[in-house]
Formats: sequence, structure tokens, C-alpha cells
Amino acid sequence: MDKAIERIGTGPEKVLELLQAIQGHYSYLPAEALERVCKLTDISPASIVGVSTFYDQFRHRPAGRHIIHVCVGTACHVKGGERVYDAFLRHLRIPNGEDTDSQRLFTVEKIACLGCCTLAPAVQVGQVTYGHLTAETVPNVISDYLRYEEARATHKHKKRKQQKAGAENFKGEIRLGMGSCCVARGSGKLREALEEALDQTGVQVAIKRVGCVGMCYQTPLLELVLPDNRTFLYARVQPEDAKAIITRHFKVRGIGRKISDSTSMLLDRILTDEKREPVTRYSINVRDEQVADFLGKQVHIATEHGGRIDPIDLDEYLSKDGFQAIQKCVTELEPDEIISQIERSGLRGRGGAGYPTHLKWSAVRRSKSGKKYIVCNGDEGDPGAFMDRMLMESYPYRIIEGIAIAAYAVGADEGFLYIRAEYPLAVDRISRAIENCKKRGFLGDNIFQSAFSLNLKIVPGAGAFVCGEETALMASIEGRRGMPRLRPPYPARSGLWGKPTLINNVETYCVVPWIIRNGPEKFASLGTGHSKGTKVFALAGKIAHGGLIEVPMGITIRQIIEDIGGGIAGGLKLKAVQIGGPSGGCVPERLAHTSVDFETLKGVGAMMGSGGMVALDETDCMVDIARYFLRFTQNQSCGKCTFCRIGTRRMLDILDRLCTGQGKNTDIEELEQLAEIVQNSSLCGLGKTAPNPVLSTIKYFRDEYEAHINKRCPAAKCKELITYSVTDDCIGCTLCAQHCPVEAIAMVPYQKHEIDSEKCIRCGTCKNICPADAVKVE
Amino acid sequence: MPVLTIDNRKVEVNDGATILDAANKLGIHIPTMCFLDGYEPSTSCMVCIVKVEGLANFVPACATIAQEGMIVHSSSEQIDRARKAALELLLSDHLGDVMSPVQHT
Repeated sequence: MDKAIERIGTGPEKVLELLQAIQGHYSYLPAEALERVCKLTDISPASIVGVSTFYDQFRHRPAGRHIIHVCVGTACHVKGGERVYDAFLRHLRIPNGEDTDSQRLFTVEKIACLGCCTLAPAVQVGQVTYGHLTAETVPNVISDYLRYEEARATHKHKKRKQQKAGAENFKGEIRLGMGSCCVARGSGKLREALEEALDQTGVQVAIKRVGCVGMCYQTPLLELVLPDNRTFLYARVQPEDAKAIITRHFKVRGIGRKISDSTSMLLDRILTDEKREPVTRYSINVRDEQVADFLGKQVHIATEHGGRIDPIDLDEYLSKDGFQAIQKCVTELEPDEIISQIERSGLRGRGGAGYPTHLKWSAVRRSKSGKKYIVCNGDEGDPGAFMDRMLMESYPYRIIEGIAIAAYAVGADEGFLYIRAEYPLAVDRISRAIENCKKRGFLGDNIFQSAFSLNLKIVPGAGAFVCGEETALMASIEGRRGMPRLRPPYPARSGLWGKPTLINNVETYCVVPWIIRNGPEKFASLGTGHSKGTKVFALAGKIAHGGLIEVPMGITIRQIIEDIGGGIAGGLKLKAVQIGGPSGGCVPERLAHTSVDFETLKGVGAMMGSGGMVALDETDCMVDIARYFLRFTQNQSCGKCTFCRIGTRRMLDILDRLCTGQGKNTDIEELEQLAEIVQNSSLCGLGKTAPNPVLSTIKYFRDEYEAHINKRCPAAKCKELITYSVTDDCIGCTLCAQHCPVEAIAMVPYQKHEIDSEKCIRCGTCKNICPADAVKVE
Repeated sequence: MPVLTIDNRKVEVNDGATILDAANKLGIHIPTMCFLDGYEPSTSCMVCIVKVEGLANFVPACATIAQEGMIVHSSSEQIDRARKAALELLLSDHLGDVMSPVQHT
């Protein structure tokens, strides 16, 4: 304790960091520890209680040895995250109202979004992420994790000795995606397997960690570059394929040669095995063929060099024109000229509202003050969005360069990157990148021998969605509860500690170096009348090819879903696309021709938001979706103003009624009235936009609301409104009875099974497992 | 010293004064609950909301700084409805959870 305080500091603004350190150590906040903090620092008991109860990350009850975070983000929600959560509680025999099992081994917690939406439903156990879970695979996760822990404890991770040979000795390179999603899908294990295979075969080739390629549906993804620059792309590579891939492309000395020949054949079979993916074949020319659809319509600006550069290799960034833009700015351009270029580029804030970036910058520049701050908003709280995570994990230097350009333009010399605590890899990479920049003089004093200085610091968030709002975010950096305040004054006049502050989103900063290097006109030539350039979207949900994409503004929703995303998975039909998370809305299939730009999206009741795009199919209930988002915003409301605190609560009450078959005829009108008032009178953006998911679903799917009033859920999703039954197609195999977690199905071999509706918890296990498709839901 | 208009009446106030200050100067009554003179406005109850022309949303009069040329409406059917809604919402969250004053004596 005392050491942590010594290391972190005793100022009142250190409260978040101290709490995080305590929780990191004890996995909860013991009362004695908090008292000790108050004694040794300038932090008051009121502040520590206020802050520790405000942020979701903190617990005041002891936790089990391992914490299971079940993601209930949008993509996970529509793919059954709640069922997975229930299954964990059942499997660990955790009683109602508790979250820890009797042996105190596991604690199960819901988490708003892990940002691994393409793996939905996903959970994080300790440091390990598991994806594509179902209620049935929950026991495997527990046993796999325990095995992993055991293995980790018994023999320490063995590190491969890095050969000292210079880069010229390496023939080609192996690029391995090491974003969070890739790691969750096993790219870490694959890396180990590759290293082992290289040791065995004596092949000298560098394995390079690269950032996100965006094709998350194909992970782990491995790209092999031969000395003659030919490239081969392998999708969904398993560790056991590692050796085969290496021996196929590289000359192996001695005995390895033989292996090469036999495995090469095996490899051909693996790569063209249609059983793995019936629709799209993974041939070696994958880059030229089906990947072309996924990449074809994309334009890479924020994600330039995606999948080809090592995220934290500074020299490589420099070799790709890195830090040229900031050098040009500092040595050749006046701040006003930079702001004018940003104006000509037409860049608007990528955080959601689309405020013209140059206006913000010039407001901060004009503010007279000896001290100005710059902030990068990396508190990507929207469930269903993971763009900023990917950008931070993959392009930390580009973001730092963008921040530096902005800081130079507005006259700031100190900055903060506020990053969600749920993104440990992003925090790690950005902090290493900052360190490297400091060492090489790209950050610190007198950058490029000029008068310009900039110091950057990371502030990890603590799980409060409202901290994405700029005034709340700044309150949080100052070490207070993340409560928004009335604007004006805007941060440009009075921000951090009352000083003028520029605050932009990660993606906004990320495109700035490109604009300076390529000229604002080139950026403005992309996009539509008022929305210029590109936008990065996180494509997830019921889509066939989910991933991270960057597209020019003005592309239609249908082009994104069908051409890039490959349509809806499993042969189902697109019903709607949820855009913009809890502040956005659902755009129905019939409006799929809608152009993706700030104004048009707003016109159809959605919102660009930060760029989460979740595809919904026929089996998704729109009332349930509205309830899902409202539950989220209601839960994350900071509680400051009446309309947001209680207004959203009352709206949620109505939606809960509808989804449980207790709806009233007046419910839709009442919802609309409440929505209007909450929208018009709430203090900050959270409340003003919270009704959007409700209003847009009422607008386009009113019939579903009416059906719920009549106690019917047309999509067969709302548990209280549906029953499971067995049809005459039943073959009496007893599989459902064996797997039913609550024994609602009697074990009667060779007879038609029956489901006891009283016992049934509608978990869907029987339907998933039935080989004869004889379980009906209605 | 900004000059603003509230309900068609012009008023000049000190720099940094709020819409509520300006209304008080004119003798226009804007209801408040969580506001207490001398303290930072807490912008919580939201019964003091007013309409400022050019702004899409209602703003709390207690915390909104008066600006030169601002045109403010302190009351309208829509504003009254929203204020009532604020009160109703507060009451809806307030059912028997407070001890009655009698019990304190």
C-alpha cells in the first residue's frame, strides 16, 4: 500500500490511479486499504467513497480468485451473451444475487463491452479471452482456463532466444496479427508454435507482430512475405499448421526437407478444405480473390499500412513517412496554416457528433492562456464498437503524431490520453510508444529543435460510459466522479483545471498526419458534401464477415453489409442495422440504401456515433434491442439531472413491462412522450441521445411494439413471451434431455420428448443440440 | 455587460450573470428547486429550464451564462410540460422513502 502511494503520488487527482492499484492487488477495495489512502494522501474520505462508487470497475466486496467478465455488449447481446452469463452462474452453482462460487474460485461479472465484437459472445477469464461461446461450451471454458493456469504456474513461459542475425539475414518475414481479437483467437499460441517450428527447421525468418488487418472473421491471420516480395495469406491458422507453412515456403536444411514434402500436401488439403468454410474457399491466392470484396471498397487513411507494420516499431513507422507531417508542421507551417488545412480538408470530429475539427482547434488557439492542455478521448464506451481500440493497438505512433500536430496548432504543451480500462493492450502499446517517442525526441522538450514541447500521459478509465462525454472525461482526469457539466463554457475556453483544452477522439487525431502529408484537398475529395474523408466502422453482429473497416463517407449501408460484410451469416435475412450504439438508432433493411454520412444518418433517426455497426437478422426482437440499449444508458446515467436519471428509468420500466407481457395499450404513446422530454431537456449528450434507440425502433417497427402489448414476441426472443415445445419430428434421441441444464425434459428414449414449461428457463440449449430440428419456439 | 431579452423585455446584466439572475432583475419568476444562492449551480432538478432561441434543447436558467443578444422565453406550453414532467419524475422516485416532518419532532 505505502509503496503504491509512494510510486503514484498523493495529489487529489491520483485517486483513480490509486484505486486501480489497490483493486489490481486485492481484486477488490478493502475498507482498511481505503482508510490508509485517506491517511497518507490529500484525498478525502468523501472523494474516495464518491469516486470508488461511481465507476463500474471497482468492487467493494471480496472477489473469487479468478474473475470471469462476461461481455454483454451489443454484438454479444444479440448472439446470446445473457445466456452465457446465466450458464456460468448455473455451472458454478452461484446462488441468486451472488456473483462468487462457494469455493471463492470464480467471480462472474457482466462487462459492458470487451470490444471483441467479432468474437461474440465473448468472455474474459483473467487475461484470457474466449470467443463464440454458447451455454453448452461454458464448462469447457472453465476447465480450459484452469488447465492454462496450472500450466502457467508449473513451467514458466519459455522465451525463444532472438537470433542476433541482422535483418539482412532474414529471408522474408512472417506477419502475424496481434490485435486483441487475434490473440483471443489464438495468435499468441500460433506465434509460439511458429517460433518452435523455426527453431526445429533452422529457417531464419523474422516473425513480425502486426496490428489489426481488419478481417477479424478470419483470425488468426498469417501473412508470409518471401524475399522476392511475393505474399501468401493464410486464414484461421491453427498452431499445428505452423510447421507445415514454414516448410512449404522456406528451404529446410537436412531432415526437414522430407517433412516439407509430406506436409506440403497436407497443407494444400487444409487450405482448400471446403469443410472449414463452405462458402468461401481459403486458397493461397486469397488476397486476390475473396478478400478483394472485403478490402475492395475500403480506403485506408486512419488504418494506413494495416497489417503490415509492427505497431510499436518506431523505425518502421519512420520508414513509412512517420513523423514527417509533424516535422513539416513544426519547421515549415504556422499554426494558423495548419488549422486552415484542417478546415479545407472538411474534417469533422469522429467521436460521434461530427463537430467541425478546425472550429474546435481555432477556438482553443484563440483562447488566451499561458497553459493549454490537449486530450485524446479513447474512452470508447459504446457497446458494439471497437474502432478506437484497434487504432490504439495498431497505430499508436500515428495517434501520437496527430496529437502532436494538434497540440502545436493550438499551443498546448501537455496532454492526456484517456483510455478505457477494458483495453489493456491499447494502454500497453500507447505507453510503450510514448516511451519510445520520448527517447528519440518526438515527444518532450524542443521537438525537432524548435520551441515546441509536448508531454503526454495516459489516464486509464474505470468503466464509466458517461466519461466519453468531454466534460465528464475531464472531471475524471481531475480525479473526480465523471459527471458532465453544462456547456458553455466549452473546454476550448475552460477545460482541464479551468484551462483551455482541446479534446478530440482517437480517430480524429489518427487521420491528421495523412491530411498534412497528402494535402487537405485529397482528403476532401473523398466523401459527400458535408462529410469528407473516410470513417472507420466496427462491423459485427449477425454479419458473415465481421471486422474493422475504413470506408469513404457516402457509401451505403447495403454496400457495407453485403459487399464488404458478405451479408448475414447462416442464410438469414437482414432486418436492421444498429448504428451508433446507445446514442444511435436502428436503420431498417428497407432503408439500407441510406448513405453513411453525418446528416443522412441523423435524418433516418440513427447517428454516426463512434462507428459501431451491428447487423441484426430476423431472429432479433427490436423491442428487446431498445430495452437493451436503454438498460445500458439508464445504468450508465451519472444521475445528475432529473430527466436522464429518472426519465430513462421510467422508459425502461415500460420496456420491461412490454418484454414481460405486462404491456398496456398506452405504453407506446407514453414512451414517445417521455422520450421527447428526455431528449429535449437532459443536460448532456448521454441523456439527449438515450431515447434514440427507442424512438427509431418505434418508428420503423411499431408493429413489434403492438405485438408485445398483445403478449407476443414475433422474433421469439423475449423469454416471458415464448415457450419451447417438441414437434413430431422428434426422434427420441434424448440429447436434449441430457443437456437440459434444469432437467425440464424427461429422459424417455425412443419416445417423443416433452418440455416442462414451468421448469424451462428458455436457454435454447435443446434447440441448438437437437439433430432433427424438432424444438419449436413460439 | 451583456444585454439580453427575456419574454420580450430587454435587460442588462453583469458579465458572468446567469439567465436566472437576469430574470430576477426583471421580476420574472423562474421556478427553482436545487438552486441555492451563493453555491455552484448543481443543474440537477431541471425545473428552471428555459428556451433560448437558436439552441435545440432547453437549458437550466440557474447555470446558463447570459450572453449578448440572447433571446430567452421563460415559459411556454412546452416548457411548462417539461417542468411538470421533471416534478412528476422526481415524485415517481419518491414514494414513502422520506420520513414525514412530524416524526422528526
